[in-house]
Amino acid sequence: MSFRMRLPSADYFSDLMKAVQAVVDEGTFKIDQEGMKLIAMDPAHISLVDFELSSSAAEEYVCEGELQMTVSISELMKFLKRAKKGESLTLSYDEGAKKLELTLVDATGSREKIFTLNTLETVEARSVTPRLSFDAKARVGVDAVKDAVRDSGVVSDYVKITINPDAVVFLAKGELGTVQTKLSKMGAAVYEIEADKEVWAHFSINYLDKIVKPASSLSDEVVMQLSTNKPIKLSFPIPSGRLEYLIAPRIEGA
Amino acid sequence: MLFSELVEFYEKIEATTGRIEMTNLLVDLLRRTPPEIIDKVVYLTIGEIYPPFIGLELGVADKLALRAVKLASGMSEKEINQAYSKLGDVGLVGEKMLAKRTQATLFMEQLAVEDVYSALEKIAKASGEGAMEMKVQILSGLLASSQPKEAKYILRIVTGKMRLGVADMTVLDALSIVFGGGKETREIFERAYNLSSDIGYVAKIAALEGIEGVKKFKITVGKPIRPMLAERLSSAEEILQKLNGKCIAEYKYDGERMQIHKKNNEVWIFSRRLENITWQYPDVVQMVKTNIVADEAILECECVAVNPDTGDMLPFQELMHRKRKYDIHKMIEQYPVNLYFFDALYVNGEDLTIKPLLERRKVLESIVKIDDKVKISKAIISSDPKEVEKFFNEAIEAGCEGLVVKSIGPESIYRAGARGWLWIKLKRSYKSEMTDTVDLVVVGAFHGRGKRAGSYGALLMAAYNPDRDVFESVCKVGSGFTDEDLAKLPELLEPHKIPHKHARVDSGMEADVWFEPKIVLEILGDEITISPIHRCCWGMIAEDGGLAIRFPRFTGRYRFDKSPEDATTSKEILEMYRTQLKKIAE
Repeated sequence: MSFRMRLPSADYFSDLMKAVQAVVDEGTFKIDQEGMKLIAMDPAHISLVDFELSSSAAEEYVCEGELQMTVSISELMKFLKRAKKGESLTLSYDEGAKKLELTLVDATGSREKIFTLNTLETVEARSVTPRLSFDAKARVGVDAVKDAVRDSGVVSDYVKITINPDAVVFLAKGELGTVQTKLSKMGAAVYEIEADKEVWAHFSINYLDKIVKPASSLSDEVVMQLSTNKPIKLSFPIPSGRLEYLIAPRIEGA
Repeated sequence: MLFSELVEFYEKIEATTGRIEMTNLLVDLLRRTPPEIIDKVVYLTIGEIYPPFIGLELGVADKLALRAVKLASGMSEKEINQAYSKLGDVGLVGEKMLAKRTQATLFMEQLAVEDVYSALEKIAKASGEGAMEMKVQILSGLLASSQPKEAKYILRIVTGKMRLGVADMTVLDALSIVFGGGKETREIFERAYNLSSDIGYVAKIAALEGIEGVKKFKITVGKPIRPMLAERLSSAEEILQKLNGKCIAEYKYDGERMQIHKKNNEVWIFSRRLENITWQYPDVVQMVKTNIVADEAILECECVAVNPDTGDMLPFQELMHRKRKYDIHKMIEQYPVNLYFFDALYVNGEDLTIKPLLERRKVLESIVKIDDKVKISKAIISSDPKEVEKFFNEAIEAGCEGLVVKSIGPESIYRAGARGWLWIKLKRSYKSEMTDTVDLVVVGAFHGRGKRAGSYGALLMAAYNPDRDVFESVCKVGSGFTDEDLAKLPELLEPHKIPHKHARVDSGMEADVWFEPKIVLEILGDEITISPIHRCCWGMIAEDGGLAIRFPRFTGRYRFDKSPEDATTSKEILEMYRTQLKKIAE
């Protein structure tokens, strides 16, 4: 069985893969008529990525049946880094040959580069998405979140994220001191808050930063969903697809 | 079966010290274990994942395991290192850190035994670039789903430090109780284990087919047999007494014991610890293919490093150069080996382990094609302790560790996996290390071969005995000569060549060429030993022996300033022997 997809921008696909790589290095994509999907957890089961690129994102999309493709994303990135601005990308995968072909064509159509990547054996992993409900939701500018996370990193390894009806608050405490970022509902960075009460949880800055950084080049806003001491869901709206993450909290006394 | 059930049992075992109690716990466990995974449970319990001959090890260092603990627990490196230096046990560190774990996970499941086993398998199999990272990732994933107590044992297994005290023998006891109906059937299980070296497989067959299946175990070429081991005594007399007065005494070569399996053109080499070491010795594989005349064979030999120029045996440490992953072919040239076969366990479909030793040796002699490199162990059949002692001294001087003296009676079968009184080691309890050089006189020479053809391969050296005014032979030296020395030697010695042994030379060794004692060379050796051949100080230390220098080499210094009468005297060598004689610490 095989699959073929032409995307207008190789750069864009490269950014998507960077976003997936924030959670897993080796990923198994499920590919069918609707598009390519990947749900995966990092080995320590602390973060999860739920990614989908629908067939409507492609200029050309051919897929017979359902297939699975496992690749090392860091290896794939080595090829994608060779893409120049304006180049289109065609992915074609032959499940029998276990090879993924990447064809980069420049805007004039006069130069074509073909890379072939050996794919990996698919290891059947149970990819169970935890069933979660959230008490609060905030739609926030992604750069504000990125800055808040990084500022928190000055004093600590983790940050307390609070959503209340009026604001989204990032608070980090360390030996050095504290850092607090308050994004008010009335301000420019917060587009929307849905919360009846205050909810909060602590998260590893390492995981937050790893995820927010690549996602910030794909989307201007992030939807944060949270309940007290429960995992946080970060959704980055992208055209013709889905990019969502879960991060498990750290359970702290305070 | 949940891994937590296994852990519960491990906790109980850890709290016991008595073997009987431990066996009883093991019996409980084996009864509760589903047959399909009993092999895995057995491997994990003894802290392994495969039998040794598979050659796959978990190979996770403490440092690496601690990194996985950090990832899975979310604790800081500082906290983890502090706990490690305090507790010194990765297992306990993991248990403690996971109990304090502040980082929640998205997905927690109860680990089954199979989950743990297959993750450990993946860790063992990870190889190549990025393998270490991969091992850490898999381990941290496993720890992320573990309860603190489970983590303790996972970490111990993965770092090779299970140390529950459950040994293969305890497992055999338990198997015989569970599947044989009682300890009296243990021998059947032990036999199966000795023939297969795979305790997990024995357990599985026992669980699936019962004792009848275990009885059917046969020798399989390609699967190592657990080696027969020797006891140890310190005198030939005691040994002969133990062996009913008659024995075969064999050189105990200072090399690596190998169990060699051959099936048509396929060859396996197993170490004494039953690890597959075939890849280290492509030269041995070739020697076996050409020199073993049998379609199927399981043989035992000692593999000894030899000086490529003289063919002399080198000490065991030299073989260590062969324990490497790269440049194996270069090492084969620099550190070639000889094989000394000493037993045949299975040949062309016939199980020889039940035959007495001399019959086995006869079969061995009939299938080993002897040449320069492939030999049968040097041996004598004797009932005279003096003769054995003499043979022992000869073995030491030749570079061996001593003798293995073996029973030759009808009871002398190959007792796989057992240490008993059918084989008895005779090793030295004293040795006299050589700390100074000596100046010795060249009295004879031996023709060189290979690279040294046309020159001398070795020189016969003597010390001076002023009382008798005689030069007494003390060693044959072939090492330490540069190409330049080799080119120069015939020229240097030519004027002193004589057609027969010089009248003032006393030598127990026949040289190819004799010289008038004239040239003095500086020589250094490892030890001074008692020799049944060399004439230096004959009868002064041993009734029927002299002194010799073991592993002698030329230091590169020609003592043209010394006349032969100025050479080191026999008395001085005797003095050196006496002052340096020390008990060997074991």
